[in-house]
Amino acid sequence: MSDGLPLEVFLKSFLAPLVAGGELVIGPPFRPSDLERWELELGVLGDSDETDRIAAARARVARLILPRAERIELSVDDLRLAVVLHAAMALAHPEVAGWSFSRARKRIVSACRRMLGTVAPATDRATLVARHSLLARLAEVERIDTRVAWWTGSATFRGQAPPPRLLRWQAVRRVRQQRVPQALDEVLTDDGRMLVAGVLRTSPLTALLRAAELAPLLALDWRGAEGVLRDQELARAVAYEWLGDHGGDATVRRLTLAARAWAEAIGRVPSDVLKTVTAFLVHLGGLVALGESGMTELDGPSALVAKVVAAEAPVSVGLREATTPTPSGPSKQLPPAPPIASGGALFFLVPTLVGEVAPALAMPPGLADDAKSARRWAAHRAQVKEQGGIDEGRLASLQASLRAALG
Amino acid sequence: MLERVTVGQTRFAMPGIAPDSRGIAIGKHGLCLFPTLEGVVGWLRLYADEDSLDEILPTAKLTRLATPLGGRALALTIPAGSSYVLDRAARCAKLAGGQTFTGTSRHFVRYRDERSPYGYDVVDLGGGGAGGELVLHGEESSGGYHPAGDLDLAQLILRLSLRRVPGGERLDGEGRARLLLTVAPGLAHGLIRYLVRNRVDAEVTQVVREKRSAFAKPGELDSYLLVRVADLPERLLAGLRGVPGVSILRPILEHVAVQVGYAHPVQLASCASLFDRGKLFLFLGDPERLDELAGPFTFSAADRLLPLSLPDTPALERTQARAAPAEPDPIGIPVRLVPTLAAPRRVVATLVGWDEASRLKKLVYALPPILLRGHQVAATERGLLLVCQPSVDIVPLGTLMTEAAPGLLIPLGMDLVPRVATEVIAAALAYKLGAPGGGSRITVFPHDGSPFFVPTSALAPLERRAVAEIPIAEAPLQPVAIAADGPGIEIKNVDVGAFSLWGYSVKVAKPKS
Repeated sequence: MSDGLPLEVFLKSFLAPLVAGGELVIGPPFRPSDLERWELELGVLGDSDETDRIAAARARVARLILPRAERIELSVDDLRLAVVLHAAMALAHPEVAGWSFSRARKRIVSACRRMLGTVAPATDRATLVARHSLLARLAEVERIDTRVAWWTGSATFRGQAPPPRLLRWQAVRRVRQQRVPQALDEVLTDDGRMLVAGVLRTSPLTALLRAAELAPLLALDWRGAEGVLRDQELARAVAYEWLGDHGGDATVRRLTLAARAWAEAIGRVPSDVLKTVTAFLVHLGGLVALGESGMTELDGPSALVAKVVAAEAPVSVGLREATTPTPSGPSKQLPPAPPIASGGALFFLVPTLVGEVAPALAMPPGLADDAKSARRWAAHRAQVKEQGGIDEGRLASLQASLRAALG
Repeated sequence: MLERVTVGQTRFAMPGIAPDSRGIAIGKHGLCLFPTLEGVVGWLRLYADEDSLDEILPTAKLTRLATPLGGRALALTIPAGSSYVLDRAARCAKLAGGQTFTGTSRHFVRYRDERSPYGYDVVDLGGGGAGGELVLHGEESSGGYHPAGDLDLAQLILRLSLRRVPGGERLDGEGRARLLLTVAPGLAHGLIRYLVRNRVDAEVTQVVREKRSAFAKPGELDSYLLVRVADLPERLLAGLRGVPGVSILRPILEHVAVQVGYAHPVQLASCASLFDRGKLFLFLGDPERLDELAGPFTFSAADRLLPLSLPDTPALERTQARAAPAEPDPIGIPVRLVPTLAAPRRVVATLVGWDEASRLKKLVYALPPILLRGHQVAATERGLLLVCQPSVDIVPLGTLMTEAAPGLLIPLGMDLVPRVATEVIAAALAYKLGAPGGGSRITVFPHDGSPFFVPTSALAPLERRAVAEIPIAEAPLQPVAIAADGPGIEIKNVDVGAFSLWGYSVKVAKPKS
């Protein structure tokens, strides 16, 4: 248990590496009383090497989205989110995994959930970008587990260096070392995953930009994303990030997840939010068509569409993942529903579905004026119709739900 | 005394005036009264800028007037075609310091002004100036004038001195498209050679005029060469400017030309009727004169006047040579270079040795891009062959080469012997080298060493070759993720001890508003 640890130390050992890279020093979780003291210290904290380093790293992240981003100062909410993240990782510390700490762990989770409840939602552009600059690299966090085997036994050291004595006389004792990097979702406990998901939910921009990488921690959810999608610069950043790897696996995964989340959002989000999300997905489809307008055979099949259709992740309408924290623990897993169409083909079916309900959303404005892009757009629809393995009955059902949701 | 004409007034005390379509009282003529001749010239300059003098010059008359008290004035009478013409004339006259009247025969009344937009009428026709042959009714009084002789308006315009135009010597491409040169007889051949060598399209004719010199006998004629050039390059124009005996003129009309750098005070284009179409009028500023050359003129191509060099071999020897064709000896005369005093051809290329290549590089740095633009270069074992476009000067380095025949370069000041037609040499070279594969070639006869040829496809623009090869490595593309780069983030668990969570407080943090 840390006792009276200065804020400067926390910034240096945890928050600075979280945004700028380095070693996240995970010790015992901090108590709410520590957080209260740090919040007071934060008000009188002057410029230091750590705050400058953190601000510079956050500015680098922000400028990738907003070219004229200003310096982002550390806020109380940032501090609370960092403390919760620290606690989530501390819960995975091998030395607190025993049964004797079970009650203490529950208290920690409870305290962290209360802290999360006090964090203001990010709705405006500045807050969204600031929150993202704090959590942008969360998906990169990993733990190096070292397995050391010698002639009479073995030991695994999780996020810790093995003691030097185990590494002596390596030839005689036939010492073998194996370093295995573990992603954050593999490291965290269930409680820890729940807390990290809660933290990520406070940053919709991060959840969208890193949708593919953070998928094991947080299912893509369009709730709360309207603040991002209604801001042109942020929406543009998301669109380019999603399509930026030129039809790579990440793009396929993102489009598949996006279509799946869109189908799940029907009837669960307000109609205006649903319209915003639908327009964004249609816009993405338009960008794909525009990107392929330089092809020689404008009516030929698209490699990206073929990849998305052949993606492994099925579209499961009505299935909610058990990542929403509930007081009673993880919610019950539902059996996966049969897919409406193969892989992520639903993404390219969105304009067709919307066309009969809200014709204005069926095609990006201006796309019809560009003959080449319009031909690619039509070719995509035709290719999906041919290869998509569409369940027409379920598609009609989804369209009826969409009609009811959009009014 | 005058009274103002009112709207719709049709009856006037003044004889010979009537309202026009706008209701303005005008007579058949307008009369501009000037105190001096400068005023008349000023009026002509102003009016010619605005409208054509051709419309009024046939009937315009400039009269010298005298008052009973001995005063002098000049009256320019112009036809009053409409009040618009008189309005323009009155405005110009006011600027030139004159007054405008209108009338038909003897009596002229002041033309309209701002105070009386419809003109003026006289109150008492016999109030003043009764004794004059010409009575001008002014605002305050009427005055009589006696004509004291007429002045020829055309001669007045033609006798005006040209005025120098600062910067007028520099002509743009359109101005240099067609020029006339007057060349003194002694300079004729040199100038023609200069023009032909520089590939200027020139035509010449001999013109004759009466000598105007105090030392000349009456009726003694003077002749000079008139050269008509097209698209004279700027550098040639600059070179010819200021050469004694050579005047450069720019045509204003088809049969009127003014010396470059000068301008006639009056727009000559607006008074074309003054110039007889059968003559050529050359306005010269330096020396100041007007040459009226009687036509018609027939121009001949300038290159026909170039001196021709005859072969040295006597005709008899040539006859004998032809008489003994039995020898099976093929044409064994080696083609070689000899110095020549013939008119030099235009320099079209230069062969820069590799020892001078560094100078060429330095020169390339110093030359403006426009000079580099017309050059092509080919790098050969024998040096750098630099070829220029017809309108571009060659870089003054290396051995300057002229074109003896199309595609055949020889050093400047040299000629090829035997002096057969260059086409024959070119054909012999083509026979020797065979048909060029994939394009033409340039054959070079250098001073030293054997001749060589360069395919024209090997020529590259100098400005492109001047840029050394820039090592540019391809930067591998990397998808930019919206995440800051930097070192990886790794969890490092530190020792926490067996009682690390002992006494963990669940004190709730106060929510911040």
